[in-house]
Amino acid sequence: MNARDPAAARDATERRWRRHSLWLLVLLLPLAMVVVMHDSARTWWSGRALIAREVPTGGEADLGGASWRLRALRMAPLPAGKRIPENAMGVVAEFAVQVQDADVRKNWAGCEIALEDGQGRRWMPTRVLPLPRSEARECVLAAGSGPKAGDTVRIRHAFLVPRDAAAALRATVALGPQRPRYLRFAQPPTLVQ
Amino acid sequence: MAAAVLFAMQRSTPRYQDLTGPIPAYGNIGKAASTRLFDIEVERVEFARQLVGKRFGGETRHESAGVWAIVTARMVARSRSVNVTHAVWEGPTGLRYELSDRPEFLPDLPPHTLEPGLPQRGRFVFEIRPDQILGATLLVSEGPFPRLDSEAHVALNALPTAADGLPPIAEAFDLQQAGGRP
Amino acid sequence: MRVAFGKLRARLAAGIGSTIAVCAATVYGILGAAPLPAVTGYTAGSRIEAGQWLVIPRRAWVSEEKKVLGVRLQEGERALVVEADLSNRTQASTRDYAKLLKLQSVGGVSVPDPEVALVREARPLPLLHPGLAERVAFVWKLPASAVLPTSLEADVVAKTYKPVDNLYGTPGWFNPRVVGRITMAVEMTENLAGRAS
Repeated sequence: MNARDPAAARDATERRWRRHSLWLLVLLLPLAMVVVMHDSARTWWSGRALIAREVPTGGEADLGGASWRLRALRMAPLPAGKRIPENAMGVVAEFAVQVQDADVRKNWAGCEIALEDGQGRRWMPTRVLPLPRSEARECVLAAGSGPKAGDTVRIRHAFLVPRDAAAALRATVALGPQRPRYLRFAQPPTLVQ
Repeated sequence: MAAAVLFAMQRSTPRYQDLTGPIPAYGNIGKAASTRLFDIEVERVEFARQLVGKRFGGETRHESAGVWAIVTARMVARSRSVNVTHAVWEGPTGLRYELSDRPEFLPDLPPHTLEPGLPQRGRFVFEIRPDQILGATLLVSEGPFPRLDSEAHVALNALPTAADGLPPIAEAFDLQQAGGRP
Repeated sequence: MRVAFGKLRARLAAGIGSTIAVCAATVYGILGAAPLPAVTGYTAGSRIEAGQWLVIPRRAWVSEEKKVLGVRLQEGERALVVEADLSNRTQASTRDYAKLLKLQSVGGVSVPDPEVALVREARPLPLLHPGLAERVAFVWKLPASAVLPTSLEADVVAKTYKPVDNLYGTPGWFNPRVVGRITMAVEMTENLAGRAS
């Protein structure tokens, strides 16, 4: 009896600690995963345009140190040709952007202007549509031209979209450092002939 | 016993390349292959000894040590605009023929820019050894090393054959001809 | 007595290990100092199996033209061209021929790596496909000060195929080694020959 009591007590303590350790594992494993993966998770989170800020028709919104306004969103059906598939609609989006923070190169890095439909499909700008000359330029070129604070830049992009989905498309603006937040303009495209 | 199990496990562990390799999406001529970014349906495969195209006003003729294989396919992006730049003609014995770099600046050649909802036709041109014509597979992906991303594997079966069992090989194939863009 | 025997065994065990090490080092040293085996000699028209490529050298010539098979020359430079039939023995299309031929120094000047062009179309850096033989030209740019050679020697360098490499476990071609030496006469283009005589 004397010899067994301390041994039994030691056993009980050991068993209790084993149980505690197992329960602690439930807490520690997720914690370890968070520590190891949090960098990759942060990169994933800011890599995609996930959270939209709706901008009503005619309105302006701030993004990346500038105030963005959709000047025009025009669409016209295109005949099938050498580089144009059948059933295509050409869409041109034009923005007037008033620069507030002159560090545009950094703020607008990874600038992506796209058209989005209700199901999450995105259309990137195309190069196959020849556009009339204008002082409006592509986003990357506009950023590279070094605008100063207070300047208004005009940005223009063309897109090739299917005719049946064109009316539901909305223009979006996403900038690298601002992701996952991006702007979505509620103004629908207007048909021009 | 434990040694035997460990040995079996070591031998059967897939290599790094297989673990992180492309994820195939299967199809064949007439049945579209559906990858993560685009769908591709091969319409026809043609063979020729010479490739003809127009360039800067003059005509260019390309001859090959093997045979020219021209694949015409219909492709459409699924959820966002995508550039299809890479294709491989995998012969029946596993030989991999990359896209020929010789026919440049001719229409309908990669990179093919695909838009969601807008199917379009594009061509892939290869130089292959004549004995690699039958039983081949076309591998198409967005970029050259599709790691852990889907790659279309289109089995080029059921090619129309002539009397000798091989598909007809034309003398010349004109890349300008209709049947490229719709 | 037992203790002494134990110490003897310990000494023997340590001794055997170091003896083997010393013997191995000596053997490697003797082998390394032995004269290199003779290198196989090849001439124009020989079929050379060089790992990834089957090489059949055809002809060699020098030229003073501004543009040789698509390769641009600077003022005063001359081109030393070796035409060879190259057949891809690997499983995939490749351009890994830059280090295939190593030109021994010509006219006392060391030469840079060659530029490779497809003879059929005068196009640089052609992609060569499995099982297809193409005539390519290796073009070395000789500076104006170099003496034009009448014959040349070039080492053929081959790599070996390893199905599983040591780093990623992927197949590849490694360990370049010389498998032969080509000796060829160098032709001169007409204007150069006229000037030399």
